[in-house]
Amino acid sequence: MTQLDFVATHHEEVTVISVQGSVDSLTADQLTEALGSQVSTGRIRLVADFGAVEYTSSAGLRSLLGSVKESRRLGGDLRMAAVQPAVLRVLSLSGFASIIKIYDDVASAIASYGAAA
Amino acid sequence: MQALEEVCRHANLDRETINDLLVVLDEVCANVFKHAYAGGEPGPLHVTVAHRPTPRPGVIGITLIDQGVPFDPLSLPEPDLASEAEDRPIGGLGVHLMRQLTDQQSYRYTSAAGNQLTLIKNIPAAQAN
Repeated sequence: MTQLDFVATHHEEVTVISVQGSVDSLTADQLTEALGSQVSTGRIRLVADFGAVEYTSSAGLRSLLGSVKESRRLGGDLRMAAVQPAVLRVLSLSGFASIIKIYDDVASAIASYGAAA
Repeated sequence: MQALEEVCRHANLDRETINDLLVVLDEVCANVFKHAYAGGEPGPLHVTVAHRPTPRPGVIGITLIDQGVPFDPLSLPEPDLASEAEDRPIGGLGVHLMRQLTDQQSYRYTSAAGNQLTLIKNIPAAQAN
């Protein structure tokens, strides 16, 4: 029940982490681990596909912010795609919508790295 | 969490409002574990979720009662939401979200009852039965 599922897909230098479930204080460590394991192996251009995430609490925001900071420190980034309304509201209320680049869909998020490179 | 979902479904709330309330419940429970029982010792946490349909469009009320050390989450300062990612402290957002996603918040402490936090969310008029 309190479980997140992840699928990592590599698109050249960009890695898409598709997350399924809800991110709260019981599951946020799993998100931190999933994102951190990519960064630690040099996959620093990340897209978090949140199309199947119903909601996130501040525990999830902590996880995302940690990965944003670490990937940017190494020259990469963590960008988000397909964010659902409840998650988008939490991101906006917390000021994260101006920190994390958010795209309508995964393809746009992947393409953004090409444009920024 | 399941009890909250059941109450919300009974109240015929849409998924977005339910998700808002699930976030609120996660924040306030995490807060109790972090502050009221900060030493890691186990203790009771009593959560009540209620739907009051009248006066329309009604409200959802969440009450948390714990026996930990006195801690008023509503006394915490608002976080800095304007700083850049590199400067942003990790954490401190839970109470902010709890305030933003509910319409009324109240806290009281008595030595007999402990910490009592009550949150009220107005049901959007379009969702009232």
